Amino acid sequence: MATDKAIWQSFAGYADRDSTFQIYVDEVLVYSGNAYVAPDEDETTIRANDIVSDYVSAVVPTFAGGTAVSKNIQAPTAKLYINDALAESARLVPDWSYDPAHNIYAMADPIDGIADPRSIIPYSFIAESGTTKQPKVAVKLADGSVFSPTFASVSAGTVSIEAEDATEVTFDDSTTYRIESTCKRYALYYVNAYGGVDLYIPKGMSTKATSYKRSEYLRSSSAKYQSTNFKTDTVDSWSLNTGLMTEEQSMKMHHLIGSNDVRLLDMETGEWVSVKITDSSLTYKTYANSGRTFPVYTINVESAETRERR
Amino acid sequence: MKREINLYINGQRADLDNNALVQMNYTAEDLTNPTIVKNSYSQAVTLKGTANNNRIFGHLGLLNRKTTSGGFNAMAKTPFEITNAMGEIIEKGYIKLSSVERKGADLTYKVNLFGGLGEFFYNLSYDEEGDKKTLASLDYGHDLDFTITTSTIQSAWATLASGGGGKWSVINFAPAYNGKPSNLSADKGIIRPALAGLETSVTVDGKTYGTQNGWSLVELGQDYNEWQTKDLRSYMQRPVVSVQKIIEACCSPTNNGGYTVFLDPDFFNEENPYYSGVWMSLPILNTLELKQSAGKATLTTDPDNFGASNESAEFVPSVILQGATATLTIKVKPCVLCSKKNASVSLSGYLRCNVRAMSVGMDAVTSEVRSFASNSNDPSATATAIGYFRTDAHGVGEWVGNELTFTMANVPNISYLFLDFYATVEDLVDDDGNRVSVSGYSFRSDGSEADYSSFINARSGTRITKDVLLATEGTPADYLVGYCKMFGLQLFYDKSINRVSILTRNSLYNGLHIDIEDRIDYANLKITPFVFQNKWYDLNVEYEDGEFAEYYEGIYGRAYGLQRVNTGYSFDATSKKLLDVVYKGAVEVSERSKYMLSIKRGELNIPAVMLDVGHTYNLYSADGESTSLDLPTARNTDTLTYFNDVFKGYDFESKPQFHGEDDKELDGANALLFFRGLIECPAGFQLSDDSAVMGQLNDGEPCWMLNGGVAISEMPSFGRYLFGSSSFSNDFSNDFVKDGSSTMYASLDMGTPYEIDIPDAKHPEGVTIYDKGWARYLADRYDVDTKVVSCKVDFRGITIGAELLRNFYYFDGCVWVLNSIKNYNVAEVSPMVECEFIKVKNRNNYTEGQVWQQ
Repeated sequence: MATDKAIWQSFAGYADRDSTFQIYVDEVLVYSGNAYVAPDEDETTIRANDIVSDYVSAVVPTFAGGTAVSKNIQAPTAKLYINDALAESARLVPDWSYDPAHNIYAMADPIDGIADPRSIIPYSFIAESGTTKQPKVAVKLADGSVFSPTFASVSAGTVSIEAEDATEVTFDDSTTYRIESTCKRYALYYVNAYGGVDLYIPKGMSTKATSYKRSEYLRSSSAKYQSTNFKTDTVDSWSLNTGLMTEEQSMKMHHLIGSNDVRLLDMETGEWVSVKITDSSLTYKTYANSGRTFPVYTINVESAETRERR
Repeated sequence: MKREINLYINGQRADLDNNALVQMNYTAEDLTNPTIVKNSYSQAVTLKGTANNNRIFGHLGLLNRKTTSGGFNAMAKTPFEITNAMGEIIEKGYIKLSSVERKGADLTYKVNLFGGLGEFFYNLSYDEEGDKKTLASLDYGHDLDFTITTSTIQSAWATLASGGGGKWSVINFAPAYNGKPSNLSADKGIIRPALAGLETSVTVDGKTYGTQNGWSLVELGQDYNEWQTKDLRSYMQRPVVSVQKIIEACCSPTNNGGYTVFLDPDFFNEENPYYSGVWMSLPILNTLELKQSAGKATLTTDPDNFGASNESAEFVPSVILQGATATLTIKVKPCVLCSKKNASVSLSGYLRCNVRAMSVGMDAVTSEVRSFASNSNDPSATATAIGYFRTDAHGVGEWVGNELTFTMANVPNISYLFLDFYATVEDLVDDDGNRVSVSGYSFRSDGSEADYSSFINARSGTRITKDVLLATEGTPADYLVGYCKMFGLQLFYDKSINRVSILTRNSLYNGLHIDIEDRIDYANLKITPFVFQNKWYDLNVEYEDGEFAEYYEGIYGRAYGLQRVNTGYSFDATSKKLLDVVYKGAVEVSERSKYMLSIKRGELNIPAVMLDVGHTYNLYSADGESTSLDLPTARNTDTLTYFNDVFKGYDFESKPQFHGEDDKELDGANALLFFRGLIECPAGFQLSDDSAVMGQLNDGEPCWMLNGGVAISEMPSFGRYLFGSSSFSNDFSNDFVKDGSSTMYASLDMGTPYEIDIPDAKHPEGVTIYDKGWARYLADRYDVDTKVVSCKVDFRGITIGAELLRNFYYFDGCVWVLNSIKNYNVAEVSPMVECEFIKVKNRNNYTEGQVWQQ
């Protein structure tokens, strides 16, 4: 059975002089090459992460509402053959945390575990290679009763649960979302460093801004020339404040700021927007280095789509 | 906002960067050369090394990559499609990966996208293996193979007369002035003395001499050509191929990779002689070295079977050739089995390889021994290749270096070939200079194939295949493009339905008139006068050094049929050749000689060569002796009828001239000729084949047959001009060609010559290709008032593509045509597009500028 590995971990083999190698992903040959040993070395390392990482991915799924499992996680089995002999074989998990202490099967790591009744709660999981998993969820409703929806058994994916009538949602690895009426407008869904999808609702003040770019040309009109504005491109952006955080929550902010795939839910209108995080740095704030106050962050995001007006 | 477009490369969706410039350029015409066929193309598109793109390009930027099947092949043309959000195809064609940039682990791919017209022409130029196509590669819907005899010529000419279909509607034979043949004894001829009023029996010194089965050999005092002897030998009739059939074949999806081709009915119709009446000359059959390819033969080897001192392999040709010799080319690599493993083993001496071709149970019929060395110490060894052996873990070493190539010419016809590859290794040493013992020899051919082919010359009875007859140097694309260039036809590609249209300029400019007065960005408008770089533009095809063509150039200082256009550029007096096409020119003349007459003696046809003195003919005795008699000249009582009663000594019909000043034959291929129907020919003409009598009487060599062949009363007429009434009909069963008028109404010359060598012909204005297809258009363009305007145009609401080049535009009080759209970024919804317009002086010069039929 293949072992499971985070994609950042070395997927490599050793070869002696003038070796050939092949890389298979899910039994399909994706690359073959020649490896040469440096003149003053006896062997060389064939590190295949650059190639196999193109086949490993996790994205925020399109939440269709209701309770559902989305197979948005690609964790294929890769094999490295050197001189026709199997040198390395592993299922590769889209975990880009570079954290050797992290358990790769625990993909969910929400910042504060707070959801809104208008939001959808995501939970990502991955089963050990060769097995499947049926995530277990306990949804505590307002009347104190507990509802446990059942899901299909899959090897990896993301579960979505509507938070509407719940007060607390607990998953089988103790990941818990508490449902609060936040009165906030925006919620962020993002792929965290472990490859799972988490939800974070900024609790501070949020502002939305729009930038305009105009195009014009000089038009002939009855022997005169008039400048005509023929197109305006608009881009929406948001500035979202987190509100006060604990130090533990602050240390998880890297999941969001470093994410490649973020979607913003306008909980008032139900509109989903693909956004880009525009912040380029993150200073980890603590109670001590924040002037003895609880840390607060400002997250700047911009719509991934430019809109046009003609 | 970016427009949503999807780029599919080889059926896989590529990731387009949000800022990627997918810039298309559409150009109607190269302003410095109106005959160049343009293709839509893009500038480089840069694709980032995303997971999808890396997969599409097979991680090509990683240098230790080894191509496996299914990977990306940068050497092959990879199809692409760009679709919009509605799934409509905006562009399609093929991509070329030009470079990959690598910064750390990040890859960036730069690709060029080429429009569909390029793919269409590629399919007409190269087959699936990348080999160049010829006209023989096309399927014409008929089996074109034939055996060349007089009856073949008769069938072919009968089909022309009846207008029938079949192979003879694709290929045929044109009477032409081909000069004196090189593969025939032009100073000898066989004759039936009884049919020429000669003595058939004489007695000399009591011995009686007579004919050989009625025949006698004439020793002519000089060389003659076929029009002087009136002996039209079957294999010396010039083959021609119908240009209409070539174009129809190019338009067939089976030949062009699945494209539908729309031919503008204004030009491509049965009434247009430039389409339905035009044939193209091919090399004359007896000048062809017919390559009778026996295909490939595979060398079968077992590289793991090591012999003690040498190793053999079988080589079996796929087809056995009769009566021919072959050229054999074989490529192999020697191998040794030795004691040194995983090492380089060098030669300090030399290596000998011996290749022998032999039949089973016979001695070698040919052999080649060659030596190879790395640093030879043996002065007798000639190093023709350098290399060494690299051994693997089992001690098997293969020659490192190029394959060793052996070529053996003139291998006789044998039913079975056996190759004995003999290798002797002397003084093999390892890197430390220690000798290495060798325990076995073998060789690898890596599946190599050997060409096995032969050459013979065509004679009567030779089987001529399509592959031989149409083995043209040019590709079908060359012929199609060349045709379009000559006649000013425009190629237009509609990517949405994969259709190529070939349009006259009249049809290309569809007459739509778009007012863009309010759509031009006047903030930045560049106006340039239409200035050329040369004083003269020359429109002409190349002419071979035919007799009259050379004379003409010597007298007039310019090529026959040249059309020279004065561009008005007065800064120098240089000329520029515009037409670069595969077609050649030919001069049609009416030749003049004293043999252009018929001589009758009662019912007998007297050969015209009997006007000369100095000929003898032989009669033969029963014991094999022969005696020579003077061939008498024509008598003054014979009836002489000139072919041309007005211009005595001229031929009865003008023909294309394919011989030089010395009457030596020229290649004569690729010249366009009109078919003018069948015409009556004077008495005495005959078709003939090589006969056994020639071999018997003339030492096995073919020679003229002065009488006794298959008499012909009519023959087809092919030429560069059409005379007579100005209506053309393709109904060849009617005598449509000549109505007695000698006034020309169509010419295949680009321009009007100063002189034509046809005594009674009249060449009026307006009959050349230039007059009919180019004059009005170029006059509109090459004018002092022509202006080129570059500006940005707001094309909101109008689909941008090559289709826009077909319209007329109005702004600033003038009519314009759109010559090019530059750098149109299909990924961006910006209506401002950079355009280049040419001022039009008279729209009719575009929409009615070409008149091919009258």
